[in-house]
Amino acid sequence: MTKKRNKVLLIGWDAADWKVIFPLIEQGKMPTLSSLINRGVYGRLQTLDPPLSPMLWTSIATGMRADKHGIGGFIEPTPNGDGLRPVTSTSRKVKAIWNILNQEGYKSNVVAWWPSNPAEPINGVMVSNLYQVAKKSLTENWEMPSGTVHPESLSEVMKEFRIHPQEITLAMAHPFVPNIATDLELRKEKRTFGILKTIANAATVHAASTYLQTEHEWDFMAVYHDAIDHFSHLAMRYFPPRRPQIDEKEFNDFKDVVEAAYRFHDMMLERTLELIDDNTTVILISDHGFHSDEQRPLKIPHEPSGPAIEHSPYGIFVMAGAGIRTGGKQIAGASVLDISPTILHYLDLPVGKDMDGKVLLPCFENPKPIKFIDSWEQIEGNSGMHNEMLREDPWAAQEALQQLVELGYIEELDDDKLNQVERAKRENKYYIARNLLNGKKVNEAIEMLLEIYNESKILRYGQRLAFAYLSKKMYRRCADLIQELKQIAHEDQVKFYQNKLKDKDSDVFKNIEFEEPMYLEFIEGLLLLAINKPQDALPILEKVQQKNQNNLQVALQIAQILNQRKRYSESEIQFNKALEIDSKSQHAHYGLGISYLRRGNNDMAIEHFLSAIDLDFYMPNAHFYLGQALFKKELYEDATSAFEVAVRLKPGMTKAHKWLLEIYKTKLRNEEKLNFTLNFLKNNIVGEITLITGIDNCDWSLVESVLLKYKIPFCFDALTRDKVTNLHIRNTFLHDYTGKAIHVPNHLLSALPTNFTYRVIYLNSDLMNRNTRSENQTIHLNDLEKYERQREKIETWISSQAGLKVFYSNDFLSEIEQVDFEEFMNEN
Amino acid sequence: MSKEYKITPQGSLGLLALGHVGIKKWREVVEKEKLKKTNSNDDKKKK
Repeated sequence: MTKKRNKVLLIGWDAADWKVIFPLIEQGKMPTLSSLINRGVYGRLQTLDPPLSPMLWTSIATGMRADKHGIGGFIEPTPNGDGLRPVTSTSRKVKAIWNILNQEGYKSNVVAWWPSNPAEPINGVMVSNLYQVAKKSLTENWEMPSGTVHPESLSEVMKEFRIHPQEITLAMAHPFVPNIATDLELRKEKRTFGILKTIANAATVHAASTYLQTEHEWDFMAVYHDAIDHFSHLAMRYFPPRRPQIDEKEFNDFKDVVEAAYRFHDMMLERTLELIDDNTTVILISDHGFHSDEQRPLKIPHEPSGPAIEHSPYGIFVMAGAGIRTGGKQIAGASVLDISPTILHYLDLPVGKDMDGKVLLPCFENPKPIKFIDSWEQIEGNSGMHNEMLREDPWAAQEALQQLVELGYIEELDDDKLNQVERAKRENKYYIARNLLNGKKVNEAIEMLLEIYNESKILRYGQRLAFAYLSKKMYRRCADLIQELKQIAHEDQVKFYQNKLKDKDSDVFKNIEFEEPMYLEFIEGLLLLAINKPQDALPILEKVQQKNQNNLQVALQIAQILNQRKRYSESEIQFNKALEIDSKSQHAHYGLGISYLRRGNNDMAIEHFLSAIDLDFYMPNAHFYLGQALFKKELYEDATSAFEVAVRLKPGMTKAHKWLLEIYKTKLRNEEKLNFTLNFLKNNIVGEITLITGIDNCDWSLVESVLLKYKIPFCFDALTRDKVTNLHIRNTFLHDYTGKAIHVPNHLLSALPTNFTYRVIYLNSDLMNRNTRSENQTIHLNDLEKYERQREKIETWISSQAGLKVFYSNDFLSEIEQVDFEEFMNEN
Repeated sequence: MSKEYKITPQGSLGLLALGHVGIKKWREVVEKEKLKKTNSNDDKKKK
């Protein structure tokens, strides 16, 4: 008997969010999903920026970001270039998972994926995302747009499974809008109609999927439901608890919509799972989450894709089936980019090296080695994609068309329409640039943003450009652009309020102009932080926080500054605030860990580093600092494990190797590992630099003469001093100082790179040095405090370095003659 | 299908959750109900 081939059923629930699901599971209201989780693994699925569904679902289907797959936003130009249309499958530049499987001999059914119109000619059935759309009344002929179903011969059968919004009965709508039976006015409301339409769409997609599940053989099936996203945009603002700004009657009318939506999906899931066999693995995902708590925005930006502000950064992920771990274990670090690579690996197929995602190995009961190929794009065979003629870059096609207009080959396009297409084209580039930034491809993002910003001077584009400059450490350009943008922001604001005065009926949910309030100030704060002016950054970010009480990033940035400024009890408050906003923030746990570690509370530090790692295993620094906390608790074996994980995740992490060296040499005595580490450090340490720190000023020529005895030139010229001052910005100059000595002020010690070894001569502050203080000079309390802070700073840095050679001196000139200084200088 | 469902012309979410089978059966019930109503109206007219 031949072994049955594993099958995969991929179900997409757009915008599904654990924050809504878990309470419903606890109340027994989503039993099917609860049981699916217990039979497999689950986790959060990191979305991409911008969280726009056509882009994200294409990333899910391809394992690639938008710059590769080509789907940027919701719309594209029509083939004749004089208008816009919903984004189509022909604009996708690379193979989707079903195309790869097609050429490997698998049969797929794909339902309503976004975007999938026109349906692709795959081996199997594809029902496009236009299938469920009803534009006309029930009494009119409900045609299906061309290209909705492949093969075309199935169109007539598939038509019958569509349910029209006007067919939705009061009984069906009742769980969503309980007052609908009694309140006639409510039935006329646009929002109510939106709800009925979404119920009909969900039922239609589900019916098509159950039909294909049972009647058309498949190895891979993908079904996409957009309904949770639509229900959430329609009514999440009414999801209990009611916020004071929400009208009480509206709240009563629509408060049940979201819960009903999730429960309806659980019912549909139950049916779907009834229809699969034992060798089918189920993957249930969402592309992003949806804010359901105090993070729900009260206002929607009045700009393209403004509603995406309601999306949260984590979707859901559940995987269950043969070969997948059971027991409902949580998987950390999954991203929307990982779904296709994981499916390929599950089906024993190689993963494309050009895919941006990874295989989620922790899901597998017995993980096997991953096979790779350079790219699936180069593999010949019938992939079931549209032929080359149909596949075109619509934006390029539109440009070509415009060229023809200019040459006089075709008629001039209507001005308004052309402007509209131009605006949409820029917006599309903006989304792709944001996606590039999100993927750390900053140079490409800058190029794109610069082009669209210069063309339009639109604030949002400029803000992202400023952020990109900041990411590339182009601080001058960033600062200049911020100044220019402040002017634009001011002009925009004036225009906005002038318009608002004219429009008295403006909707409360559409009364702000900007993507994120005070985003520009946020970037300015980050810039000041980057140029080592945390004291200036802090008040700006605190101001931003006043306007963005529930902004996780702002809280985290403030907390990090406070950590840097050694204001640990205040940073603790901010990190806890971040955890109130997102209890699963690994960065908040990590920051709290640092805050406790620096205060010597190693137990609490360990607890928070472990929480951070539990949420995201791929955090080398969390493992590293966990190692430090364990070392301080004298738990050397555990510390070794933590440092070893850190270097496995980040092989070039010299600082972790230095700690391992210290442990292998002095604590656990492991010759083999010691030699390995020594070898690594030999190959990766650039050289040794002698650092003079502790005091900011003294007669440097004296220090120079002392060091020269040991053949170490001390560089204290103006150019070196200038370079050291900018150490936190650029540290490559240090290569020129190996074997030499430099003065590094206390506050810059933490900016020193780890690929050098340092010999530190800590000269105690003049303030406490009896020899440099005159008889009558008194010490002020403020000076004492400053001295204490400086001392604390240097000691914190020293304690965070493994095996650092430090010579503490209160009276350098008299101590240099002593034996221990000579030993210190001669120590290898 | 192991479960039994009572299908009424008003339908229900549970029925929609059954997928294509549910929609098909429900439409049959709705059609029958329409026919019943039409026949009853015709009878009334005849009388």
